[in-house]
Amino acid sequence: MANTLLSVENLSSGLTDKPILSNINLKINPGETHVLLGPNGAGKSTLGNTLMGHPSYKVSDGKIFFNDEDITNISTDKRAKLGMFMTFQNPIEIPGISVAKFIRSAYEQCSGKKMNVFSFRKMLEEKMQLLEMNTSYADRDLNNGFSGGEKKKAEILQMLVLEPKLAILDETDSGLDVDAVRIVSKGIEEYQKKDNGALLIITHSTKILESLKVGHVHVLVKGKFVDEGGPELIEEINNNGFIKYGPLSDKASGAN
Amino acid sequence: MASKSKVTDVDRTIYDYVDDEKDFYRLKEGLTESVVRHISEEKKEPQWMLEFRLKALESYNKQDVPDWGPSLKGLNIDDISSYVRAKSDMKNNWEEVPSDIKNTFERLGIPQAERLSLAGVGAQYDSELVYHNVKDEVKAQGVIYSGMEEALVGPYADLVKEKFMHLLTINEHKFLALHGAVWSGGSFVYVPKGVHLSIPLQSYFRLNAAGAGQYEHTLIIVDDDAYLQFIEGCSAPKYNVANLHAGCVEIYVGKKSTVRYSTIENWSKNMYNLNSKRALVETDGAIEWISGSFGSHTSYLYPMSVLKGDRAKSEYTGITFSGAGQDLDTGTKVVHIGEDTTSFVNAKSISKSGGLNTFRSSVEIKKTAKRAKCSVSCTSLMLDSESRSDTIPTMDVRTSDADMGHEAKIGKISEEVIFYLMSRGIEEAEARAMIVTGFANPVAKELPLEYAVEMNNLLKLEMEGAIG
Amino acid sequence: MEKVITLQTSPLPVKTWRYLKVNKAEIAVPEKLQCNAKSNISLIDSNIEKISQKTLFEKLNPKEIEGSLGKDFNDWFVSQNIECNVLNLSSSDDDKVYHVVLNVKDNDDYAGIFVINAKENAKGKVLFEIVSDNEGTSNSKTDAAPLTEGTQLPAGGTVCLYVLCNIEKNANIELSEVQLLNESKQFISNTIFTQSESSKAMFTRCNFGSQKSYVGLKTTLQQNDASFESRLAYITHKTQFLDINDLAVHVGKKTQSDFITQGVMLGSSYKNYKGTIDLQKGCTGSLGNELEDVLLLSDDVINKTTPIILCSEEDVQGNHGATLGKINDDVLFYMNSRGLSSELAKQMIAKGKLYKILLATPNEKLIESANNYLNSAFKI
Repeated sequence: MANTLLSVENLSSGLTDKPILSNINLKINPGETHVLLGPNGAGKSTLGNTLMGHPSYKVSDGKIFFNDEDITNISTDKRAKLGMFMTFQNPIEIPGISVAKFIRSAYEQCSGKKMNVFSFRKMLEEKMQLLEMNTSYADRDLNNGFSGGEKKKAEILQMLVLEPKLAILDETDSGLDVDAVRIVSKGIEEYQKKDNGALLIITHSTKILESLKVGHVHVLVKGKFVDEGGPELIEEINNNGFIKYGPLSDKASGAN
Repeated sequence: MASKSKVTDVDRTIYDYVDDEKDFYRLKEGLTESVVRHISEEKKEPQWMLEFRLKALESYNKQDVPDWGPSLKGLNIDDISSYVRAKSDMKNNWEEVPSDIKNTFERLGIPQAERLSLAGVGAQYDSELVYHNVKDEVKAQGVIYSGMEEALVGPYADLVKEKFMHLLTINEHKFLALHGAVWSGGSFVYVPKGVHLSIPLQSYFRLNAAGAGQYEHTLIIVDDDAYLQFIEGCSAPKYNVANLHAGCVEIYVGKKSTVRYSTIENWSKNMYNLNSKRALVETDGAIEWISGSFGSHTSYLYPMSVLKGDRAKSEYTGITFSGAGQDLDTGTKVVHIGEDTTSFVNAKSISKSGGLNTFRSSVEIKKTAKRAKCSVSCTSLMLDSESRSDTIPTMDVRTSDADMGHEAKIGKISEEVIFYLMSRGIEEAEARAMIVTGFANPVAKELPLEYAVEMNNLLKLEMEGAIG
Repeated sequence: MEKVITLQTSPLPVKTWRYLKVNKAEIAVPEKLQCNAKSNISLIDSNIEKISQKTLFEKLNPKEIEGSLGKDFNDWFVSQNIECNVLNLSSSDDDKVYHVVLNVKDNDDYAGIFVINAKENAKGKVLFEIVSDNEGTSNSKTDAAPLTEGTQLPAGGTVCLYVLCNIEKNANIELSEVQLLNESKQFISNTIFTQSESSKAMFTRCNFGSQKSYVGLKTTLQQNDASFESRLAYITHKTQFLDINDLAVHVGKKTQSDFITQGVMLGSSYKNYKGTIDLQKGCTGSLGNELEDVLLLSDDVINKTTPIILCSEEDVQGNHGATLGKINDDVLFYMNSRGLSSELAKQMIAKGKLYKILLATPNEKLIESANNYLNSAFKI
């Protein structure tokens, strides 16, 4: 009997002067794949950022539990060490630190294990090959000068190395061409298979979901969950959009 | 250092006064205690001020002339005392006023009456009338705007005593000590809580007052939630008998208040302008310094902001134009003490015809100034190779979360831009003038319109000297 | 008991307000250095010729070696027993690396001059490795040294290295200096370049060690089309003291200078960076650039910067910039989200910045020792 991995209870959060999410309730068990759909400005990225503890977002109400531990107020790096991971919509460039060095440091922190340079490199290159990434990228400065597709692949690469318990994918397929979407999907599948990893896929388009096994679907509109269901909800939204949930956003957008 | 152009100096005989002037002092011995006592007596000052002046004199005698800036050799320290006088009437002879000064008046369209006053000819000038009108208008809002001497004995005497030369003190440098000993004239402004003064107050209104210009002391106290704009100086060349201007401006900015202090300075080209200005800013307060320096032979001018309260802010926008024979050393100082304080500096300088121009600044971010933000930008334009432009900024940071950026650029007018303007039919000289005016625009647009126009006219005049 | 004297050094080319305390640096030195007669140097190449102090000063005028450290300091230096070496580089030295190792033992002093004559069209690299026994960051005998002007003499000895480079027409020289002295020592480095027509010089410095460092550099771009690049990486931690005085004098036409300085400050250390670009009248078409970036990783540091531009020529460009490396919140959050604590993230970024400059050192083993030094500095 799997105990709940992620439990979000009555969560309300937003920016300092701007409430965005209200009364969010969500439960994710190990190995499950959840999808969060919603129009632009619904607050999807806010949810991802709040779960990871982004300093700009404040929780005004409610709690977040990870493996029964109250993580509502703990720092981001501690959440990562507990097994949470999020891919960034716009991955940050860090000049001066190579892909290999960065991922190895993160690995050491998250797993608590030290791996020797060669073994690590071998492991890294295996995963890079799976993602059809040129292994020379391992020595390039992280995300520096990478194309959109390469940045997203680098994010998935990190996910595969760090093997989190819950991976939050924030608009991972936005801006990708068909090939890149295929490769990213491949990476996600690998994650689903290997580690019984749970997924929360945040997206407003459903391209990337086509090849994945999806368990639960949630619909977020104007900061609230307005619907819930199984994979059939995806098809419905694809056909009818979000109109049935009423006006999609307030004048002030950019909540994403 | 590039050699300076010869200063076409004014014949010193102009400084001689009509012999039957019995009220002024011509002392060969230098500044003595008896001179200082006499000044105080003549002004009928309270005892504490006399004691203060004497202490300042002591400090003056102990301190050295600064050795780090432009040469002050032409300033005869001992002669200064000869120009200290108790009575104001500085009567020059109009015929003997230098012709270039007269020409400038003409070009700038200064009304005749003003010209006489500006030239120190001391005629009756209706700025007195204007001053009195303004004074009454603002009084209705509770604002006090009076002469400095009056303020010593007026209803705010205690406040003045508490604040007088507490922000800028006599032991900081020799010329502050001198100022403390012989100060005369100047303005006292008090703006009560919540008052937003819509009209700017101007020191110009008080040009004719006692000891005008040389050693005036300006004390501005703005209480919480208030707004004041103060304009010092004018673009017309102020011709003064003594060649030292050692004024002092102290500004207290209350919580959530803003003070905008603008200066256009165009002292005649024999003057040594060693003015000290400082503002102390409380929580959520702001000080804006706008500064256009065109005149003087030599200047040391560094308005300073002390950001004491949290979220205090300082902005400095300035332009300094050094022409032939000038050595202008200007800039600004900021000290960040409170948390979340911000400062912006946008300085421009132009050098031509052998002028020497130095931008000098100091930014200190103290350990307590968490999350301080500071941005300094200094651009210098060289108009020829006879002149000189130096930039000497220092930053001292003692907290790790400060955000500080500094950049400085120096160069000449771009040939590309000149070519472009000429290809549109504009003559070269005009093109250069346009570019320089554009360069000075950040300052011009912060000034009230008539000052901006005057400043642009001044620039044009200066530029004409530069071409052909 | 050796007599200790205080000298004025590292004067700012133009003075500024005295209260800022940047116009000069005071340095405590023994009146007479106790240099070990047995040479501390290993010169990997016999091309480096030892000469006597007398012979050297017959050819040189003390004023030529003043550099940016000033007269007071220089007068003291020439009165010491100086080890003098001359290296002549020619075009046949193409890309050869002359590696000089100065390993100064505990409590020993050292004073040395290297004169590098790069003949016309010469090409070459010279690397100075300055280390001491027990290199590493422990053994600080002067833990409580004051942070101010440096008027206490570190107990482990004083190391003075002067390097004079005469770079002739079309020559292209790369000079590197990596300093990893242990923290009981005091380090003084005075490097002077004189550059002729179309010559190129690149100077890379990594100053990581010693209790106190006084680093001076002066290049005179004497003739047309000469160019100079400086890359300086420094880290100051615990109570280290670092004073830097860089000066580029542009005399020839179309000369270029480019200074990039990257620093990291930790602990309760002190650093005073002075960088001057002097564009003299006649140097038409010249360009001077200066950029300093510092990452402050502690609230107890004292960080001073005075970037100066002096200009007497219309047709030039001079730029300088100084920034405080801020690790922006987005970068931190990203690294946090991968399990890296903020502190570790800052250290990684700081090391990354220094490492970029360190990589230009033409010796892998030395890069590794320097890297290890950095790692141990960050643990503190």
